Amino acid sequence: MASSSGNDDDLTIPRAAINKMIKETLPNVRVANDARELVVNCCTEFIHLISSEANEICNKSDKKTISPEHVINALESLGFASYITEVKDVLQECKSVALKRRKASSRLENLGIPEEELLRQQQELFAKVGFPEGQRCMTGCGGSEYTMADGDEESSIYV
Amino acid sequence: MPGQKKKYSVRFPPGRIKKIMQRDTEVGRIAMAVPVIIRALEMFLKSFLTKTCLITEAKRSNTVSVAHKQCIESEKLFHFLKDLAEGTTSTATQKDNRSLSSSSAY
Repeated sequence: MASSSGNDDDLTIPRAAINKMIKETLPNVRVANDARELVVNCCTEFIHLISSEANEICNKSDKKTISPEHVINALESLGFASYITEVKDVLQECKSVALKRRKASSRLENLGIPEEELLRQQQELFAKVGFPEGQRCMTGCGGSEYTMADGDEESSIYV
Repeated sequence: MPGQKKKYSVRFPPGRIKKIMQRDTEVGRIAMAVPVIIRALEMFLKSFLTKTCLITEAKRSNTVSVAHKQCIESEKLFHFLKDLAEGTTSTATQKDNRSLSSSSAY
């Protein structure tokens, strides 16, 4: 997503998201523009607060990557322990989604049959369809090139 | 209790949040931490907005404005917003000074 205006210094949560949040939390309440602006900036401040605390915890634990656990500990140490239960639920959800995705992709990989076998099957198929036995050569990047001589014509089929 | 979780319909942009986090040069790599931060942010906003609204009602005003940010002072949890709140006070005060001759409450 290309950002239209500004440098990194103007990085905030989109106003529309904040407006929606305000509407959801305080339906039927009027909120002045300056208050909305303050809320937007409070979000950024909150994110910095948590990130910086999580970062410190991460450094202390000798890890290079901030993990969700670090964030949870940060919430606790900053006094937001009441958020932890719900936050852990979200984490559980994310983990199970990630797990499902990994399972799905590994299932696809297992469908992969070794290349020799694939070529053999292909030869069989060609034979069935009635192509004469052709020369074959394997290219380095996993593809195969078949050159068939069929009377006057020569056609190459790239697989 | 039924397994129905409260779901906020608002979805904050994870990419943007990650960028905000990484504006702090100390912050390095982040793994799967953003959804956690998003949920914490939603909860924080809900709590902050609700408390601010209580002040608005207490002041018998029908519009939530920056004048109602006392919860930042009163709640220890929101003290990290003090500097930010100071910033809005000065602009609001400037506006007041321009429009009114008498001094407004600081």
